[in-house]
Amino acid sequence: MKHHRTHLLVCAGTGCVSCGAFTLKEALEKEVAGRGLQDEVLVVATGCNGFCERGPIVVVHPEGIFYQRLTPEDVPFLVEEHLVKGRPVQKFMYVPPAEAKPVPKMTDIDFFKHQRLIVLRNRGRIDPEKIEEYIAYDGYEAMAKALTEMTPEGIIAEISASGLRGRGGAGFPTGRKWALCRREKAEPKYIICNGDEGDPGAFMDRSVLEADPHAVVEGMVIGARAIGAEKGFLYIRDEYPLAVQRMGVALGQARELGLLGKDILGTGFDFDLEIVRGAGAFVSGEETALIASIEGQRAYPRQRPPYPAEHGLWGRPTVINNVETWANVPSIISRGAAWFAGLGTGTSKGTKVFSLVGKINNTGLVEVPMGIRLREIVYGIGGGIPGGREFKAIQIGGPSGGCVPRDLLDLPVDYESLTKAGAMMGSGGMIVMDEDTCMVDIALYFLRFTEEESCGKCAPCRLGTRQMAGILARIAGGQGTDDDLRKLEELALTVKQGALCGLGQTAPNPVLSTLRYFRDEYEAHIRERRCPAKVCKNLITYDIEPDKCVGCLLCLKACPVNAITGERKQVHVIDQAACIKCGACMNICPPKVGAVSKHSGEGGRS
Amino acid sequence: MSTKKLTIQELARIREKTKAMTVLRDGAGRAKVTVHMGTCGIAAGARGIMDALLQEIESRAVQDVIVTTSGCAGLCNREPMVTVEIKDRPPVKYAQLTPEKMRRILAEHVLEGRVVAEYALAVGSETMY
Amino acid sequence: MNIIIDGRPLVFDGRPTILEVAKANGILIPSLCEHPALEPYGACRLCLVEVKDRRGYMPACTTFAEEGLEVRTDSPELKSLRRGILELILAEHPHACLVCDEKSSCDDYKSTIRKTGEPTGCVLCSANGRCQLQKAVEAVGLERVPYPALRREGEVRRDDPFIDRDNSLCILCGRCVRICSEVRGASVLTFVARGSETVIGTAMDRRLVDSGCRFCGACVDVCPTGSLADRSVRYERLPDSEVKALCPFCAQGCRLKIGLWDGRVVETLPDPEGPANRGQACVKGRFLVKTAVGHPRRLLRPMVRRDGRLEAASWDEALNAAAAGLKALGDGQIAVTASAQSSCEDLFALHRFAADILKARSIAGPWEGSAAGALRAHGRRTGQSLALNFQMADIGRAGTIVVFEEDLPETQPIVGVEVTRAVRNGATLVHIGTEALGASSRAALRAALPAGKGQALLKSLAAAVRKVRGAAVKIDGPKKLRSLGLTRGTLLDIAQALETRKPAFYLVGPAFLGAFGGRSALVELLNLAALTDGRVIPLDGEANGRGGLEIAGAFPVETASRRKVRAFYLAGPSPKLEPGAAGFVVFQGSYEDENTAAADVVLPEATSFETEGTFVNVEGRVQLTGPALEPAGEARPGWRILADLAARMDRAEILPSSGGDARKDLARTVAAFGGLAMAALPDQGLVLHEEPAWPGAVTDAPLTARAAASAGAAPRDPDDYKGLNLALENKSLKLVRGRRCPRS
Repeated sequence: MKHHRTHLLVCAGTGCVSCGAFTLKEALEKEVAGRGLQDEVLVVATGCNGFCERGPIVVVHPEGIFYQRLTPEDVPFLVEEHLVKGRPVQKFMYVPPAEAKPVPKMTDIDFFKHQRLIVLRNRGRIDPEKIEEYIAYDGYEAMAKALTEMTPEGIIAEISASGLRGRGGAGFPTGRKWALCRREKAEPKYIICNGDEGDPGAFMDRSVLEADPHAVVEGMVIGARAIGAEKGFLYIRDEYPLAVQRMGVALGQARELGLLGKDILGTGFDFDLEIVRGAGAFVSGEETALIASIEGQRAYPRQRPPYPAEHGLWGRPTVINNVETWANVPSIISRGAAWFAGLGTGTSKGTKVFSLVGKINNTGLVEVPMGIRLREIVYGIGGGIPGGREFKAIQIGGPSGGCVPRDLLDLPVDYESLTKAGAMMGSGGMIVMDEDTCMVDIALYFLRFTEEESCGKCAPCRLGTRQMAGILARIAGGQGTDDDLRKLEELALTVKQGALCGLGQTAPNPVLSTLRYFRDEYEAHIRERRCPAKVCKNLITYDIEPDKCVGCLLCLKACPVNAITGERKQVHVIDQAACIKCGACMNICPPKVGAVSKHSGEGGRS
Repeated sequence: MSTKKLTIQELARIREKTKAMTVLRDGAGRAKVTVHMGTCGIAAGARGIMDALLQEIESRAVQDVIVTTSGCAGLCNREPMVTVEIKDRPPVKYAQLTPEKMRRILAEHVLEGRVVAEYALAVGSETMY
Repeated sequence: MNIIIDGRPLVFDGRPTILEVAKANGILIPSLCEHPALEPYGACRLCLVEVKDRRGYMPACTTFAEEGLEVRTDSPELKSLRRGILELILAEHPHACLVCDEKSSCDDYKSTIRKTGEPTGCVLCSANGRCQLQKAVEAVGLERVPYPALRREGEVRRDDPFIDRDNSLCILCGRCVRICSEVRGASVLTFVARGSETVIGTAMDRRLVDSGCRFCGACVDVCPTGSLADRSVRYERLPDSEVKALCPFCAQGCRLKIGLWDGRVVETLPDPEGPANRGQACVKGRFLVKTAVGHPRRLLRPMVRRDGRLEAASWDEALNAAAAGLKALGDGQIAVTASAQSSCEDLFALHRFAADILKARSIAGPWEGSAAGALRAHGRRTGQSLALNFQMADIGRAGTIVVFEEDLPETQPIVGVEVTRAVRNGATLVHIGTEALGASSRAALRAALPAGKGQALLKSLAAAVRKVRGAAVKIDGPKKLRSLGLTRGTLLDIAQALETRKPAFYLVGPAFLGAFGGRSALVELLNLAALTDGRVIPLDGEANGRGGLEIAGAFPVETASRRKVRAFYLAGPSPKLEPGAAGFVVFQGSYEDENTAAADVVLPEATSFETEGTFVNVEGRVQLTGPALEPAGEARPGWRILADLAARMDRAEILPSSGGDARKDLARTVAAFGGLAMAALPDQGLVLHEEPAWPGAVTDAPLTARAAASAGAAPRDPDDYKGLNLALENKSLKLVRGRRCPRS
């Protein structure tokens, strides 16, 4: 390898790519070459760096300087100043909100400082399409150890002792699942990686697949050895083309080096992987539906028991684990179960990757030890709520989960605590909400999602989600009655108890948890026709205050349905009958004037 | 891309070969050599110093030394200048260098730990930026 | 083993589900998606039960009973859950009648308003009274539906023959999809779209008839509501009685339940307890019995030719005329034709009549041209005893099945069901024949065999099997294989399957003996079967081919006479006779055909629905069918016509005078029936003997003598029933047959 003195690590996770990371990379390469620095400066495209709020991102090594929100236009200046003259450029650095001074080094930035990277250990620091870079950071060493120094039972014992639990949401002890499958006599056995991440707002698995596909491959080889499988499948949703592509490259390179396929590392162990692309349904993330999908059938879940470990793909014993679970395996084998079990809490060991999104300053991907307080995630890492708004709730676990209100911010993040609070660890999506979020609207959003994604096989879910969504829509529309809350709770119980699979069984959770912590909001919608967060369109009105309006015509021109009338220098008036509650007028009214206000409750709906 | 299948020993060998990369990205080198490349430095020939340094590192297959740049050190008439920092030792500034001198500094100071006093300007810490 | 359900200790053995144990013991657990013919599905969730020490609720239909389980089906929570689920289902299913205040007082109008196109409630639905959703509502006790009623979208689909599809009634139990795929292997119906928008439909929403549907009716039979319905039934009254009868349209031996109102056929359903068909049927038995029984071409009255014209006559007149015409002729001057669709009683009487009374030149039946006949003949020639009997269930347990140019859903539908079962359990299906049929069979391995190359192909296959076994043989080169319609890869794959997936069954029908190269091909096939420990299964197409073969064997007919044939007794299919030139013609049949006009005497025969009789199906199973209907017009059973005719020829004592007598005679005379309890046939029927059962029983004479005599037997169209071609006579069936679309 050429000795470059500086590496520019350009984040090329999907988020940054959508902001032009590849164009930025090309600009950097061109500028570097133009100055004859191509033998000194290496430009590398890595997977997701994690701090998605601030993309496109470039990290300069060896100094570890973090540059954010770069455009191709910034490139010439950056190269001249930093690479040629050695003067890092402050104006491209990260400045924490409500502070004035930039924080140059990535490791000093709060967002990164408080994270503990195991699954994401290679994120942003290797080119995922170069297997040598993975190997450089001890890649495939755990696999070598597992294949040459350990027995299959030994591997399972190590994973069991580590306390690793399935990271896809159910939290089933991974070692126990492997042991159950190993016990089965039927052949052949299969292992599957569930990469059908479907929760809205979740992108943990995508980032791992895009940034560090070999971590998953290595974990699966170890798992295959443990249970006795020769074939595995990576089920990756089709909506992740970059992940599919990078994994394909990774598999090809691993095979070429004999790290996958026949006689791995000369140990006589055969194992190969195949990518299967999802066909566009959320339900195929459910393990039995996923198995049906690989079999070429419609992704309908199947009754369990029997569980896949006993009777899975094509009726054979199958271990199916989530991307994140697999990515943990190499570290556990390298560093030992005791090390892993030293992180986290009594029943939830290790770390968890969360996607932190919503009304939060530092949107991105975070990996933290289990047991960390929610407050630390929201404020310490997340940087708090933007715009000076107040924290209201955090939705954890996507459509299967629930919200955790402000009073519970000191809750430790572990499987049991979250479930007790009415939420769920789930796959790790965390959606932060502020006072401008309506909890009824949130419940409706999730129920509409579940209704649409319900596979339709079983009556309670197929029909119950539709009815629940219908009731919520009426409540949000100002047509709810008190009896609706009772009906909602009864329906929730019917669906929860009656549904065939996890999608249906957990579909009522957003409703139940918002009713538990925010019942008053529901009651306001029903009894006062008022939406406290001023979100539900049928229950809000926009008004222009006559004494504040200066008649500038801005809102009149901005209104998409021409609902505002007025002349220059004369008070403007909104025609409530025509208003579609889009809020464009309020956005455009100059802050100094602030004449447009939003109301709910007084005067009722329009 | 060769199609040779790896043994465990070869896996370790790749790790060795790529150490330079990991050292650089982790910022974990044993020594750091900063080539001052402000306008004065470049005018005085800092580029040639840099090339020589990199060439020497490559030919000697040195893995754990970080090379970086910085702006003008302040002593413009003594350029080209280079600062050598060995881990846990005070940084040493060298001035008025030529590619030959750079090579010698690398061989004696960076690799063997002996300061080349005749080229040295000052010994002591200084903030970089 | 022991299990406790709702506090009741119960005993079971084997591996039943909790639901099956409950059903067997009279404990009602409502369920809508479960069906005994289908694998457990667990979708409707009505059968959820509690099991002690297990978390949550589980469906009784998917949970196996185990020793010591304690199950609760009726706790208040479960009852409430069941009610909640039913309420949800009814919200999207027309339920006006369930909650209507007048529901018990609209009886006077019910039967006529069932004709309404789009039901809003039970009384307007064709499934009223038979709907399993109604039964579930009754069992659970529901009085109101607390949701606004939602009518599922879509017009009622009436663009297919036989079957109407009404999506507003569908509760998405999935039974139709599952039976079409799991049991019938057609996969015509499927789920379209997802979630609450799911509907049952076909690929690209084509008509069933354009999607490869054969209209077996299984989907209609399993539909718990009126969503899939037999169109002709909705305009009828519900049956007031039900009779079981065998279907005579092919050789599967299906038993049907015939629903009658006022003695007329309303509908025919497959009998779930039919020993051969076990609840399955095909389009003919399911939908065309009415057409056959009441067809305008039915012969209803005896007829006699007077002054050159056929005129209606009384039985006496007709029988006398026939007797007179026949008595006048001597030995070997009369040619008789027999039908493989006649009952054993009728065939026995006919053969005895022809051989002993008429001293006929020949009794031409399709026996020698049949697969069973060919096997039997070969066996005799070579001194082997080749088994013809098999059980449908054997095929379901096959490891490899090789089909020779048979469209199983059309000619052997129940065998087809078993082939589907075997393939589903991992068997390899091989089709040897035309590309179109091969593609439609969806066999994993196919060879498109050119005509007459059967022997060469089978030889090639045998060599390949030896090679796979490790012998140092050479297999045919690519050019030779190409001429046989094979590639080397396919040849070896077939050989590999035969060698490793056992048992192997070779299904052989009339096509094999015709186009493939007849007897020489059969010899090679038998060699191959012996090599692979496989069995050759003869599959013929007519209801009583096997029965006829056995009976014919007991009545060898001399053909030494060189006298001219001067009369014909047509009791079976015959080539067209020239009117006037043939001689004296007696026509005994149920339908007018091209030879009726040439007859001198026409004797109307009852169909199998109108008289009792025994038939032997492809398995070799003898089953008794009872009369379901009164004979149409003046038709009489065949054996009776012959007995009466014999009496007019002073030979009454020779023929049996009742069906029971005929069966006794069979048991005494025909080796295959020897010793069978023909007088008291059990419900599952009895299986024919393969060898002569006792010393002195009549054995068959060499067939060569009869071969020439039966040269007149014409190959039969599978849709022909006693001269009536159902596909030509019924527009719907014609459409179905014409649209058979091979799929790849």
